[in-house]
Amino acid sequence: MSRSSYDRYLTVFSPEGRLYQVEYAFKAITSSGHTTIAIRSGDASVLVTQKKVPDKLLDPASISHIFHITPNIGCVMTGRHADARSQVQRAQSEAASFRYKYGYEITPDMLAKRMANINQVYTQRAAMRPLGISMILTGIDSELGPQIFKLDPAGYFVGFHGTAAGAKQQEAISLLEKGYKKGWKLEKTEDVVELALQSLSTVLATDLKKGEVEVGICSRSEPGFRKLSETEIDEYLQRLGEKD
Amino acid sequence: MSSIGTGYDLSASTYSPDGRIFQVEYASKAVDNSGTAIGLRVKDGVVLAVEKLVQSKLLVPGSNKRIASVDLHAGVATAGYLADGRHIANRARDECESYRDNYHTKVPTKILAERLSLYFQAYTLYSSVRPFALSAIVAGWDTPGSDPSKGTPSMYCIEPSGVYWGYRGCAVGKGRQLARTEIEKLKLEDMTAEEALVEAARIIHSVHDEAKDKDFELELSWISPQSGWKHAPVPKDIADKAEAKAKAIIDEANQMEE
Repeated sequence: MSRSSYDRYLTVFSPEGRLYQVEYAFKAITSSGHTTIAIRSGDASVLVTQKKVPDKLLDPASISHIFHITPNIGCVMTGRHADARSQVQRAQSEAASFRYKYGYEITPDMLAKRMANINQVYTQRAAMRPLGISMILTGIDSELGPQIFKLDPAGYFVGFHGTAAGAKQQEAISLLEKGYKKGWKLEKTEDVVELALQSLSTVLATDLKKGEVEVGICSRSEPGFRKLSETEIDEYLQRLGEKD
Repeated sequence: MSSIGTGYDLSASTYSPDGRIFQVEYASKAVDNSGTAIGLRVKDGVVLAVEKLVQSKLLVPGSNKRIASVDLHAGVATAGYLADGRHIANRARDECESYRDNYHTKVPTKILAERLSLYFQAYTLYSSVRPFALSAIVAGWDTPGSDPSKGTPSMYCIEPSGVYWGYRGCAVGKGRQLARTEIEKLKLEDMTAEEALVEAARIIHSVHDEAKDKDFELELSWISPQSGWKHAPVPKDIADKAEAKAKAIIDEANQMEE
């Protein structure tokens, strides 16, 4: 594997046909230290991520990796945080521009496609580097129901029943795959939230506390994407604790 | 896994094999070599203090400010390259003005911090520019209605990569480790800006390394009831009193040790 001179320039292929700079951008996601899980059912979709407050002087209210793109579409970002905010800003701008041009709200899949296309451009133009983030978008499509899309630095995006990103993404995805094959019993929104929290807890091999996790949900029963408050998260975690 | 960088550290648009961008990390090192800057968010305001290292005795005292007022209600203190600091202050002023133009109201501190952070981040994307060698502490007083006394203080710290978080107290620059330890001991929610002034002066004096850097000037600015909830340099008489009190506390502590 002769990496030496082929991995510094974005637009230069290696002899095996790989773009190393794009692959290194993926490494930035897994080395961020956070893990994120997203799950959807017929009724709702849920995003959960870790909330780490490393410094006592930090204001915990200012720390969040879950963002609103439109009132109905939300996302969770994993990877380089500065790049994350930039991409969120761009997504908000694209969504607003769509609403202005066409007169109706952008759907999650169209937004995902637009953001993924932008990511692809970064892998082909030498002037800009790919952003080191994985964006997981969610929203309720008026025709198709809850949707989850994961985007990566390569410009690839696809819809998921359940997915994960970040440090423990491999373990999380395997866990979700096993669960999905067996069949998830997700009748209410609460079931999806519990499954997501349970999966994160298993993958991180710790019991979660209310200040350590963030949850964003989209449900058919209530309009819009919203983040759960600490009290609500605490209730879910208590219930999880009792189940064990 | 080379943490030295070799070859992957020549431009901001290159990732290393472990997914790091070394140019941005090097920019942070430039910040770590500059004079300390601290910010304290207290119940009735925000205090910013900078250890301004003085290169030459011929410099006019009070010149080369590192804390800039960017709007009536907001200020930015910087650590790192002075020139980048001036540039960011100008950019912040433009952002504040543009917000007022568009929305007819003062920019909320959170939004100012977000815009500056996106600006920082933009310079980490291309090989044709370099990241800012700067950490910026953005302080502001947000008033929901027309009565400034009913406002809330805000403080954010932006790193060269563009990452920013809200803080109750923060320190950047040479003496940041020591300063942070000192700040953690303080009960910031119960302090007033006047009290915080003395604490800030004390912390800057205590982290200043007499052996390595000879002269320094203490630059103080605040947003407090006394300043009319506007960001302003602390008036000379108040600043001198605070600095004198701070020095007295340090001397007392030193005497007790002996």
